[in-house]
Amino acid sequence: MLTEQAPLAVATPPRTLWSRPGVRMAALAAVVLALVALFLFTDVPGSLLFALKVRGLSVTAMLVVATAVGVSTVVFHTITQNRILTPSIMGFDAFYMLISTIVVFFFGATSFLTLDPLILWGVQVVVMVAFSVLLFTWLFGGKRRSIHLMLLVGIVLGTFFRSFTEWMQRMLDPVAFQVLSDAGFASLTRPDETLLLLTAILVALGCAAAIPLSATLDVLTLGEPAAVGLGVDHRRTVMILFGIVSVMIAASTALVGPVLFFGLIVANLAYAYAGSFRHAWTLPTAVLLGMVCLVGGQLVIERLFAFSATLSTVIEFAGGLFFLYLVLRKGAR
Amino acid sequence: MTAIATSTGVPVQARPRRAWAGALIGVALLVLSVASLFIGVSDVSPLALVTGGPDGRAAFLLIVSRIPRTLALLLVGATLAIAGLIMQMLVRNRFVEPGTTGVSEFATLGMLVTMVLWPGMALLGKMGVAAGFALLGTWVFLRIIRAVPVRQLVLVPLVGIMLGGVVAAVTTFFAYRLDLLQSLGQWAQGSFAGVMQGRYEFLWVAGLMGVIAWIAADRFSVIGLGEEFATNLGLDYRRVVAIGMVIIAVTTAAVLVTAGMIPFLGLVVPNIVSLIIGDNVRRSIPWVAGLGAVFVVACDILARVLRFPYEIPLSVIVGIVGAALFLWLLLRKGSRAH
Amino acid sequence: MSATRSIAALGLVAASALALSACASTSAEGDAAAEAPAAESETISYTWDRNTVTEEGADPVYEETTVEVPVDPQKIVVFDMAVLDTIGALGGEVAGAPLESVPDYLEDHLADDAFNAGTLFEADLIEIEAQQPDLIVVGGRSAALWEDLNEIAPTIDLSMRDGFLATLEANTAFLGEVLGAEDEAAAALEELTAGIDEAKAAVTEAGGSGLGIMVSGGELSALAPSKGDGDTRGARGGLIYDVFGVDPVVEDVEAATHGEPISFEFLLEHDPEWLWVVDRDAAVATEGAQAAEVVLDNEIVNQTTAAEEDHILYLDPTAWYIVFGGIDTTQRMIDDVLQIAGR
Repeated sequence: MLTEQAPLAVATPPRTLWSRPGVRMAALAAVVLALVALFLFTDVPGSLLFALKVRGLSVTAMLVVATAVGVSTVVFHTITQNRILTPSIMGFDAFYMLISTIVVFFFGATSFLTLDPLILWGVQVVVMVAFSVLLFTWLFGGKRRSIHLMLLVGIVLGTFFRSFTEWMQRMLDPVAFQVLSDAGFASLTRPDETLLLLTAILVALGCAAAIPLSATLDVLTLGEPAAVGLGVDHRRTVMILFGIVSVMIAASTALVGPVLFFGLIVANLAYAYAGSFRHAWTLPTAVLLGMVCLVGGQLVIERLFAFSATLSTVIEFAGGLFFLYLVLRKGAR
Repeated sequence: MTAIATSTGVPVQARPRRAWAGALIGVALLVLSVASLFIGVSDVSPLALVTGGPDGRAAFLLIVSRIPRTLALLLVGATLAIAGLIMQMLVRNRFVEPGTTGVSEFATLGMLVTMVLWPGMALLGKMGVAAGFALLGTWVFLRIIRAVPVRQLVLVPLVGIMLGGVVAAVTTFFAYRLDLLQSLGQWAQGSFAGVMQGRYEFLWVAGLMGVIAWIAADRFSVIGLGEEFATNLGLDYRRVVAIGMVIIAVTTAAVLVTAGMIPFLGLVVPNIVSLIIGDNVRRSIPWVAGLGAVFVVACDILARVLRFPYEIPLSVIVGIVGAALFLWLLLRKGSRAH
Repeated sequence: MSATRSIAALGLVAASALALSACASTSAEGDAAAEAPAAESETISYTWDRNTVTEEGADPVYEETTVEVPVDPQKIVVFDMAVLDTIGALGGEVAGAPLESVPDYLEDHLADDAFNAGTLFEADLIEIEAQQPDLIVVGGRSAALWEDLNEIAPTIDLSMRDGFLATLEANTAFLGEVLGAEDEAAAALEELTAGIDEAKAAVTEAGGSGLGIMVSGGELSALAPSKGDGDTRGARGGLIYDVFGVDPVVEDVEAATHGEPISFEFLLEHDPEWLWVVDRDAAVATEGAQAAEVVLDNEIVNQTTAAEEDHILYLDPTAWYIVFGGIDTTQRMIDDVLQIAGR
């Protein structure tokens, strides 16, 4: 049930203006622009230039994260033929923390890595991508298992990774074991500039790799047999796509820390909103919706409630409810 | 088809294996319990007991600290595993336990409430409030789960975990606003470092719940067959479910208040027992209790020894071992989860 | 599960954002703050070795930094509670601070229309920029904000350096100079030094070993001597040994125990003569209702010398764990230690 994808909706020609995907996306883009403008230009008590500088960084981080999460989740959904699994729910960011811990403790001590945090970061990303491709191939490469089973496996894996990380941190360096946990807390408002640049480059590379595959992704929606019938080298393509997903999530997790349900909300809203199931539309829609959630959410929390650092908690709460709704609605059918 | 209590096909040759497994659990329980008595910061070796130890304090420590800690471990292991088993009967699903159904998270919310409103409250009061919240959590979960068809085996724990996530987000939000996150985090983190005489006794209440579960075991077996079947057999379905809910809530709260959250225990142990002896509740309760106790004592000994003289929180060790076992249960060949 | 993680993660953030209800505030010494406004252009150089590695726990890399600090600044924004304390005690006023982190007894030191400058971890840069402060002070955990803040206004880092007393002296003297309250600063320092000596004498007179513990979430952790460092949070409780001369019952209660629960057995085994308790759970407790008292009232602890002789002393958690320095706060710490004289 959950595995079943809606058929490609491009068969029927659009009747009204609103049912055109292009129009819908333009409207969404306008909303994003409006929100960004609100975020940047309103409530500036002092120098506008300064505010733009500070908030510009924040908006860029949001854009990068929205892109990474939106694209990777939609791609992940397509490869795994479902709409409830996301890389984060599959324990991916917990896995990232584990890999980071392992890399820091086993390689961090050597001088050349401590000298250059960039190399350390690079090693982290490479190791991460390699391992996660292996992990996902193990999970999804063999026989098809039920989506719910995979979800449960993912959540349990997440707990496993987290416990293991904590154990390693405690065993190896009791004083500094809090350092890495600190990194696990999402902060969109004050990202590190160097890290932001690196992440942006990685995400851009990921997008550049994913966009030409958009048509292939559409074919993958039809399922493996159909895709193979249509001449897609399924195994190879899926491996490449897993690689892209890994890179993007690694980059965004490194930037703002884990955001568990964000991708789930964004991707599912995108399917409902885009008015098309072609990836040429759903991918950018997911990114734009991600922007709406992040910028809008930050606006509401920061300006209306003047709460700091609670966006991730709110997303966790709303995302959890949304997830329950999705699962129960689809599961009951 | 119910997932539970239908397994009649215990292989005939399983009998000797069962006897072996039973003996193994018994011996392990004995050995580990004795080991647990003698591992700790102070010198409480058998020799010290005879000679009185360096300060003549060995016997005192044995009574006040070691025996309570070991008893607490045994009680927690046994009762959490039983609570998991009962939960599995009520929900008619193999993959639930208080930790995967949001019950623990509700109890934690209850803890937060006591910390905010009555910080100086005695542990018994805290436990009472936590138990109330846990009861509410069980009820909420059972309500929600009615919408899920029984055959969706792994959907049920998923929904439970998500429900727990939502409740935990609420708790986190308020704890963050009230600057209580760190304290709450320490409560919720399972550890027996602070357990001693005078600080574990509520676990006997949980123990009592375990005994009640044993007495009512057959009823829970019938409940596991479904409401209709149970009612046809002349069972007061609602009352049995209510008893089960109280058992789960009180056990969860007692364990949370004294030791903290211990993940996966109530899930893994009954499943392993079911692999060994099948699904009869009356027969499996002592097994579940015994294996649960062995599991917790073993993990706690590891927690004490790995970084001696400091301790690693028990929940970290249980998290690793329990999650690995759970994954194995889910993915092994022949698992009904597929 | 995911919840536990987020609780843990948030907990670290919330750690120092603790607002405690404490006792009534002690009034500041110097209220003769109405000095003649100094010339705008006049500045004092402040030079220190700035740690350029902002990640906590990483090895520090120091860089000598000099900032020209305006004399008698009109608008001061403070990200360090000890500095807030000292400025207030010297008769100054603070225009902006992370308001949520300001403990009750320091609220008097804020200007009536003080603005919220963010949190100790995240400065509200836009608001601060709009307020155009003359001077910004960071310290301790907020030291990482230095780079961002120094772009807005002269920002100095008054973190702990060379130990508690040296820092207290240096910072008080420096702030006195900046505020034009040198005499008040000298007087306050003299009084504190005398107070600390008195407290030390009381500790020596009482004799015996001591152990500082922190009670949080029903569990105990041991406080380690700070080794004069004072930058890490684990060292905070160490003042009881370093400054007030309490003889630590175990020398190896190093930073290794930080965050690690110790068992009650640990207490009995090492059996300190005096037990100094920082009660983290007292956060929202009403006065006198120590949550730690409930935790410590048990068979094992009752067997310890400290309990038998009524030698368990409670320390103001805000003063010892949150504020960490400052004139009023040090006075509170002295008062806390002087409890020993009555036992």
